[in-house]
Amino acid sequence: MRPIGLEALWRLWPWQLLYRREGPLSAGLRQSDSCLLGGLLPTAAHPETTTTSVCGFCSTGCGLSAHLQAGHALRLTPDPHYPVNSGRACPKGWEALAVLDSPQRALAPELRWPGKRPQKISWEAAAAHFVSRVRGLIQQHGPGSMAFLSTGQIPTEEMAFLGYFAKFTLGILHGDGNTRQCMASAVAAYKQAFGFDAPPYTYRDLEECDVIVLVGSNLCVAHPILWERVQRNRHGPRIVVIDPRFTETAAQATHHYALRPKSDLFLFYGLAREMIARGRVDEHFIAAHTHGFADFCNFLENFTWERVSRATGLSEAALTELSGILAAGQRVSFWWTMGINQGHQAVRSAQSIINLSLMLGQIGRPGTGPHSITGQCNAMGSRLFSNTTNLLGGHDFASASDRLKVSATLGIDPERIPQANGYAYDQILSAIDRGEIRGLWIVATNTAHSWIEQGRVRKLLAKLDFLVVQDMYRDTETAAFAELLLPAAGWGEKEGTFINSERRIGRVKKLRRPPGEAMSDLAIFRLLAGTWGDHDLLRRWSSPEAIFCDLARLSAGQPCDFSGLRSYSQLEACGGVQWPCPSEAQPLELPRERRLFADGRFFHPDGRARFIWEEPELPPEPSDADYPFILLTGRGSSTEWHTETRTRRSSILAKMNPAQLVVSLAASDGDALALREGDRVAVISRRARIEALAHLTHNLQSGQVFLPMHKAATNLLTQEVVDPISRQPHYKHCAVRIEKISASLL
Amino acid sequence: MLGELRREQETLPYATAVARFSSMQGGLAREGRYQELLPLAAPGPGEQYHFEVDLDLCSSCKSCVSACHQLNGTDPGESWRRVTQLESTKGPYVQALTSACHHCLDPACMKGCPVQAYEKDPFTGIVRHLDDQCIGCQYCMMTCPYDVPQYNARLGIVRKCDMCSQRLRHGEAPACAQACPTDAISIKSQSTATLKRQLSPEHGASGLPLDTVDPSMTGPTTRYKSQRPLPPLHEVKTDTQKIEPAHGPLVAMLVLSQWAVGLCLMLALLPLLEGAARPAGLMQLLATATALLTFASLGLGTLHLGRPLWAFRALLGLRTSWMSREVLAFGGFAAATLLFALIHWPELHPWAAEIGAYEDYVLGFLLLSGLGGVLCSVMIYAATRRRCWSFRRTLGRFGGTSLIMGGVSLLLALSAWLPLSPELLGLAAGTGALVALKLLSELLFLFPRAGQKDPVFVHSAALLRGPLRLWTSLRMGLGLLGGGSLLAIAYLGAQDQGIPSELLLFLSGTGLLFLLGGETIERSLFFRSVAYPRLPGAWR
Repeated sequence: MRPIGLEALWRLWPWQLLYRREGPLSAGLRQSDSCLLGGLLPTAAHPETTTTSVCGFCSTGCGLSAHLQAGHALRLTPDPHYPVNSGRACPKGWEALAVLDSPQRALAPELRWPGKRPQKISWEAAAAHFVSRVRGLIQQHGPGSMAFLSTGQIPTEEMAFLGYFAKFTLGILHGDGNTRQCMASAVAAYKQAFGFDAPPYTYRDLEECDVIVLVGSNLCVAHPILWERVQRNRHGPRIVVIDPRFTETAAQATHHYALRPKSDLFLFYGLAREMIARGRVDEHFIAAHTHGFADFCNFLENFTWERVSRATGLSEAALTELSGILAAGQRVSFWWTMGINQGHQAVRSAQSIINLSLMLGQIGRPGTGPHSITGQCNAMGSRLFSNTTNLLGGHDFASASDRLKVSATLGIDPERIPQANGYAYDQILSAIDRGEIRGLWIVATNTAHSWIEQGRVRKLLAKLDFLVVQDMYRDTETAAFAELLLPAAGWGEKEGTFINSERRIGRVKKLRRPPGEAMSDLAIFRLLAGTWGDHDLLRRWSSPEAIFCDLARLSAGQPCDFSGLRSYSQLEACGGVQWPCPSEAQPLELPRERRLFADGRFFHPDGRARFIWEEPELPPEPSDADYPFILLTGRGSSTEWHTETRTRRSSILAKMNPAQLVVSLAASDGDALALREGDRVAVISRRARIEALAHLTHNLQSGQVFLPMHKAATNLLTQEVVDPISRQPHYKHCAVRIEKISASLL
Repeated sequence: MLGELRREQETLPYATAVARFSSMQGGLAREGRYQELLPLAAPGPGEQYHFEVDLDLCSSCKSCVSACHQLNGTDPGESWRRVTQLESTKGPYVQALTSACHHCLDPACMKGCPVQAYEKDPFTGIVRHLDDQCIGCQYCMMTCPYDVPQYNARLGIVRKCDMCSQRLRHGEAPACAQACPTDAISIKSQSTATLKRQLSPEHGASGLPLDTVDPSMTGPTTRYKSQRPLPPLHEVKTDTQKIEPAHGPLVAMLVLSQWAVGLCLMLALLPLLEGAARPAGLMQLLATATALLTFASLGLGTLHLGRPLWAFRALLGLRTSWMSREVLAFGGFAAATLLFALIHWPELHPWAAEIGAYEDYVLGFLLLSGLGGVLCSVMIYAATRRRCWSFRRTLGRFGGTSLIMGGVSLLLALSAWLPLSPELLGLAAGTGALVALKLLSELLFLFPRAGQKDPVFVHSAALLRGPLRLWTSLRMGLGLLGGGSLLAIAYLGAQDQGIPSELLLFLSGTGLLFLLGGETIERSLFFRSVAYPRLPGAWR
C-alpha cells in the first residue's frame, strides 16, 4: 500500500506515467446519480428523460423504463411502478434494445429471385410489385389463392390493420397467426368451457394461494418474472410441478411429479375422480354455476388409481399424495403452458384442468383458477384483433349480427366481411400443397423454423408462386424463401399496444429510429393499402391511436370490452388496464389487478361453465423398437426466445447458451448406448436425421430425450399432428432413435 | 404518401417528454428494497464486504448477467457476472450458479500483476482493478483460478467486477443484486478471520461450488448458501471445456529468449567442447545471434500487451510478480547481450580492448541473468498453480527448449566453422538425445496412465489428442525429424568414412529449422491445452 500522504505527489504528471489510479480508461466506467431514476448510472450515458414501454418478448408484459437522450433509448431498466413486474426484468428485457443493432437488419426492400443475388429496390417498386403480384394471383386464381400469416409479435393496432387490409380490402380468405403454435388450445378450451377466450387471472393470484399447480410449465426460465411473483407468496405455498422433466422449476418446487409425456388426461381425470371420492367437490358452486357435472362423474368412473398409475407412470402413493395436496388446499390455482397446449388432445387436457378448478370451486376467488400462461408478447391482441380466427374484437365471421356490428363500427360495406372462418395455419400449408394457395404473406414470424415437420414446410414454401416476408432481419430461415422482403421496424421502433397474459393492455413505444429504410409494420401496411387504393382505410386508420380507439369501440359489449379506454394517455396514466373496462367504467378508478368470474357468471348465454371431457387416446407416434425414444421439445433457457431471430443478436444473451445443438438424454440410456458426455450423435425420426452433442442427465426419465426448440434442426424431426379442435401442433411427442457418430472430442 | 411515412419513421416522439425526477433513493428499480441486500453498516476494522448467493432463491433467470452489462455500461458481450448450470451425476438435480469476482482474501490477480494495477481496498476488501494502470499483459487472467478478469480488446486492458464500488459508496446495491428478481444476491460484511476460517477443510462451509478450485489458493469470499442438500462435489457434473488461446507473442518470446539463453550457455561451455579454440568469426556470429534473438524475443513479447507503450511500468510489481522479475532479468540479459556483441565487433568502435577484458564477467552475467530469466519465465506459469504448468513440467519444457535450441544452433555454427571433431559429434548426439527425451515425456503425457486420478491431466491430454491432434502430430513429427537429423549426424560421423561437410551442414541446418518449428508448436500447445479446475457447470 502506498502511504496515503503522498496522494498529492502521485497526482503529479510525471509520476502518472509510472502509476496512474484514475484516468480516461476508468472514466469510461464512472457512474453518477442520474437523478431521474434514483440510482447511479454510467456518466457517459445519462438519460435526459425516461418513458415506459411494455417489453416485447414474452406475454408476461413487464414494464420497462427507457432511458432517453434526444428521444433515443440508451438502455432499459425495469419499471418500478408497473403492476406486472414492479422493478424486475428477465435478461431478455434488459437486453431488448441490443437486439435492434445487428448487421443482419433488413435495411431496404429486396427482390429475391432463385439463383440470383438479392436486389435492393425502392419502397415504391416494392409496393408496386406486391400489388401487381397479389392482384395477378387473385384475378387468375381467385381470392382463395392468397393467404397471410400474422403474428403475436406486433402491436394490436398493426395486426388489426393487417387483418382489415387482407380480408376486407384485398379480399383474401385465409389468414392465421403464429399464436396457433402457442395458445390455440387454451383459447379453444376457454371458449368451450367459459364461452369466451378469457384467461381469468391476475398475476397476483400467484401470490395469494396456498397450492400452485404448474402443468407443463417451466416457469423459472420461460416466465422468470412470474416465478418472482411466486416467490413473493407469503402463504408458504405447496408448489406442485407436473412435468416429465426435472426442470429448473421442478427443482425449485416443493413437489414434482414426472408423469409419462402426454398422459395428462389420465392424471387429471384420475384426480377428479379422487376429489369426488374424497367428498372434496364444491357442490354448491357446481349446482349454481356449471353444466354437465353428473355426466362427467359417470365418465370418471373407470379412472381408477390403478389405471391412472399405469398410464402416467406415477405410483399410487404419489397420486394419493398429490390428491391430498389438492384436497387440502384452501386456494388452489392451476397454471399451464406449452406442455398442455401442444399435444394431440391439448384442448381436452386444458379442459381437464378447468374441470378440476370448477368442481373444487377453485375459481373466481383470489389465488384460484385454471390459467393458461401465454407465450408471445401480444398473443391475446392477435387472438382478439388479428381478424384471422375471429372477426375483429373476438367476433364471429359466421354470425350475421357480428358482421353487421363490425361493419357499422368501421363504416364499411358488410358484404366485404367474409362469412366463414378461413383456414388454420396447418390448413393453409395443406392448401399450398394442393396448389390451392399460391401466394403467402408472412409477417413477423419464422415459419421455416417454427412450424412442425420442417422438411415438409420448407418444400411447401419453395413451391409458392409468391412469398412476401415482412421482418426485422434479412437472414431468417423464412426470409431465405422470400421473393419480396419488406424491411420492418422492430419492437422499440414503433407505437402501439400489447395485451398480456392477464388481459392487461399496455403501451409499447417508439424509442429508436428504425435503421436504413425499414418502416414500422403499420407504415408498410399503409403504403400497401395506399398503393392498392383503399383510401377509406388510410383515412380512417391514420395512426396507431386512431386504430386503438376503433378497436376499443369494436370491443364494446364483448367480454373483452375496453371501450372505457379512449386514448393512449389515459391507458398510460392507469399503468396498463386489464379488460374488461367497459364504457361506463372509470379506468383510473379500477383496481390495478383484477380477475374474472368473481360472481360465478360465465360467458355462455346461460351463464354456466361447461364440464367437457373425452376418452384419452395414446399419442400418435409411440416409441417402438426402431425408434425407442420419445423426443420432448421446449424452452432451452431464459436467454433464448423462440426461433432466436432476435435473442442471438445480443452477445450477452448469446453467450449464455450452448452454441451447438445439445440433445439431453437419460444417463441410463446413455450408458446403454455406450455414449459419453459430449459425443456427437444423430437424432433420427421418421422424418429426418439431425446431429447434436449428447448431454447425459438424471433430469430426464429413461426413454426420453429433449431438444431445445430454438435451433432450426429440432423441428425437422417433429411430426405434423395437430389437435383436432384447436389445430395447434403437437410439438412435444414423437419417436426418435439415437446413433453415435463420433466420440467426444474431450 | 411514401414521403410522409418515411418522415414518420424519422421522428422520435419522446424527445421532448418532460423529465420526471424520481423520488426514489438508492436504486433504479425497487423503491426502498435494496437496503435488505446490503449490510447495515460498512465493514469495520478486520472486516470486508462479500457477495452472498442464496441458491434456494436463484431460479436460473440470468438477469444478473444482463443487468451487470447494462447498468455498468460495459462493451458488447462484456459482463462481469456469469451463470453456469450444475447437474448431478447421481440423481435429478439442477442448480444455477451465478458468480462474479470473489474479492479474495489473498488475490492472485494482485500478486501476479506486474504493474500494481490491482489493489485490495483496505476498508471494504474489494479487489479493484485500476484500468488506467493496466498495460494489458493479461497475466491476471492466468493467475485468477476463477477466470474473473476479462480482456477488453477495444481498450487493450483487462477489466473486472469491482462489486459496483461506486454504488456501494452511494448506499446502493450492486447492479446484479438490484436486478435479481428473487433477491438471491446480496452483499454482506464479515470479518476476514471468519471468512478465512470458513475456508479451512475441516470447516467445510465454503459452499460447494467453490471447492472445485482449492479455496486455500486465494481465499474467495463469495458465500453460497442453501437449505437443500447439495450433492457431494464429486457428484456434480463439470463440463465447461474449452481450448485456451495460443498467445502467439508469448510463444515467440518464450522460445526465442530460451534459445538465446541456451546459446549463451553453449558459449560458456564452448571451451570444454573445443579446447581453448574460439575463432573470432564464430564468436562474432554467436554473440550477434544471441543479441538479435534476445531483442526479437523482447520485441515480439511486447506485442502481447494490450498497451505496449506502457510496458515500462512492468517493473513495479517486483515485490510479488514473477513477471516483473522476468522483465528485470531479461532486461539485464538483453543489455548484456548487446555488450557481449560489441566485444566481438571491435572494428565498430574504439573501446573494444577496454571492454574486451571483461568478456568473462559479461559472459558470467549473461549466464546468470539469462538462467534467472528462464527461471522467472518458469515461475510465471508455475505460480498460477495450474497443475499442467507445474514447476517441474514447465522447467522441463523451458529448460529443454533452451538446451536443445542452444545445442542445435551451436552445432550448425561449429559445423560451418570447424572440421568434424568427436566433440561436435558428441554435441549432436547429446542434443539429439535431449530431443528424444523431451519428445518421450510429451508422448507419455498424451496417454495418461489408467491410474491417473487428476482430471486436469486427463483433460489436457484429451485436448491434445482430440481437437488439437493435428498440431500435436505436427509437433511430434517436427521433433522427430529434428532429433533424427542430429542423431543421424552422430551416427554417420561415427562411421569410418565420416560425414561429408555438406551433409553435415545440411543436416544441422534442417535440424535447427525442424526443432525451431517443433518447439514453437510445443509452446503454443502448452498454452492451448492447459486444463485447470474451474467452477463447475456449463453454459446452459
